[in-house]
Amino acid sequence: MERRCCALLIVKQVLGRELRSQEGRAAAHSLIYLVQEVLGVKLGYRFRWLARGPYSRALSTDLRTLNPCTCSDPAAVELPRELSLKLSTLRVGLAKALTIAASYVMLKKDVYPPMGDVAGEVARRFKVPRAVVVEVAELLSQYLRRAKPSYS
Amino acid sequence: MRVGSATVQRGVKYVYDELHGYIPLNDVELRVIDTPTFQRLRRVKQLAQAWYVYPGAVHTRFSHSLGVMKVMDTIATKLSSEGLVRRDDVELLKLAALLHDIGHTPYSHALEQYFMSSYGLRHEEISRWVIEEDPYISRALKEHGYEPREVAAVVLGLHREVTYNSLLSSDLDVDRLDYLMRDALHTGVAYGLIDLDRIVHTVTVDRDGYVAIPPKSVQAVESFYVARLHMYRAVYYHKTITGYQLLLSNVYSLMASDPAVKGFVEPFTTPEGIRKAIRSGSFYLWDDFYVGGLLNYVVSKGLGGELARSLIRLYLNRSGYRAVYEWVGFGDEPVPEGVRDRVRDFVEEVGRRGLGKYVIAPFVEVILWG
Repeated sequence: MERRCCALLIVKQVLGRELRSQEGRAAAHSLIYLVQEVLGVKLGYRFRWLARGPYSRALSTDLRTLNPCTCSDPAAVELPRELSLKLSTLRVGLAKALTIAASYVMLKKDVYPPMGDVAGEVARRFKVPRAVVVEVAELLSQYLRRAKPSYS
Repeated sequence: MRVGSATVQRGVKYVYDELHGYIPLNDVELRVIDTPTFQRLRRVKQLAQAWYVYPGAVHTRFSHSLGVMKVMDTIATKLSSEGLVRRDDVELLKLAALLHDIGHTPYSHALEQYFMSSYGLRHEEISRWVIEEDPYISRALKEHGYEPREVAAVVLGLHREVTYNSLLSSDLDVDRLDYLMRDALHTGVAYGLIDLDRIVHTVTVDRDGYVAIPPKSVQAVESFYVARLHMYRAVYYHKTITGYQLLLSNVYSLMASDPAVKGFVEPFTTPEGIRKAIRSGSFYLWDDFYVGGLLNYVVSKGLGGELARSLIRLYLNRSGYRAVYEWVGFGDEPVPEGVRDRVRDFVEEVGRRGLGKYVIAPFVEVILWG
């Protein structure tokens, strides 16, 4: 429960009012996917690959039904907030940047059979220029090299 | 030749299913079904302890898996004829449907509770290991040109085609379309019936790749959701059934940690042990009979601690946990503040009175509709 409280807190702090929109809710799944699978905070969600990027049914339930609760792990909140600040500087906006970043990572890491041109697939799916996907991926990569040197 | 609504073809084997009638099986499906690992599903009950309340609910994961494959066949063939699924992938989807529950623990969700709470291990992860690493299953797939990893990707919802992922796991997926009907049939819960034919023959895919239904089938889907609601209340989260699942989960936990007993339960006590058994081809031994037989053996030989033996006797004699507090809510609102606190306070009070954690088993579950 504690870890899920952290997930809820992260989403509320980073996305706030954007959660009211469909794009914001999809971004919440992407954000928690990045927190769990890339930043390595074990939250216990299982993600599937769907049209709007990573999706977890349990997270969807938690976001709609958990009461405000306490997250006592500051690192669990700090890392995603830093990453989101970086992503929010991009021209596509924070919600879309999160979805692009998480989809890019998921297609590279988890989805099978592998795709030849992951950036092109993400660009086609989310209707953005390929250059935007490359920009998001590069920013994510730079951030991870600094924040998590062990991440390759 | 026609049997019911299905045309019987020469050279194809058939199995009669109580829900769907004759289900045709081709070479690769037969090869998979004939493996010891798939045959194990004949010995894993679909509804764990539901027979304590509904005596007829003793059907198995085996018939459910065949049924899911049949529903997938109907839908995938239809979508393929409309160009929405690649013709070559229909068999891939059928195999994924057939194997979607291959990693279920004995007594289905009862033991899964133990592995979830102790190790965060779900049956989907075990299914991935079985499909990719079990020598019988992986060999059967490879011999017919199917890559185990791709089959597992569909099962886990990680295939690159999002439509395939949503066919097997979404709010209106082939798994639910079978189990609601099958469980309603075997429990006798009349509210679980749905217009399956209407749904499977009109289902389509929207432009994002999600499973969708046309306006003319809205009533059939509404009735599906109502049936789902009734089945959750009457069967899946029935207080007595949930109580026996928790009881068995607690018994397994005690046996897995008792030095006098755990040797009989191993290697099926940790994720590493389960994976090792899968790789060595002995996973097929871990079924309801294995666990059920062990319960009898522990009691008859007086093995291990008295607490585990007492709980086993309660389990066998249908004298298990009684619900002392139950709250059921509907809607998207958060669980009211006081509910979780009340459950926690009660558990603490029981502890203060010197009664151990195996006397009370709190259970809070939130199900999202639609």
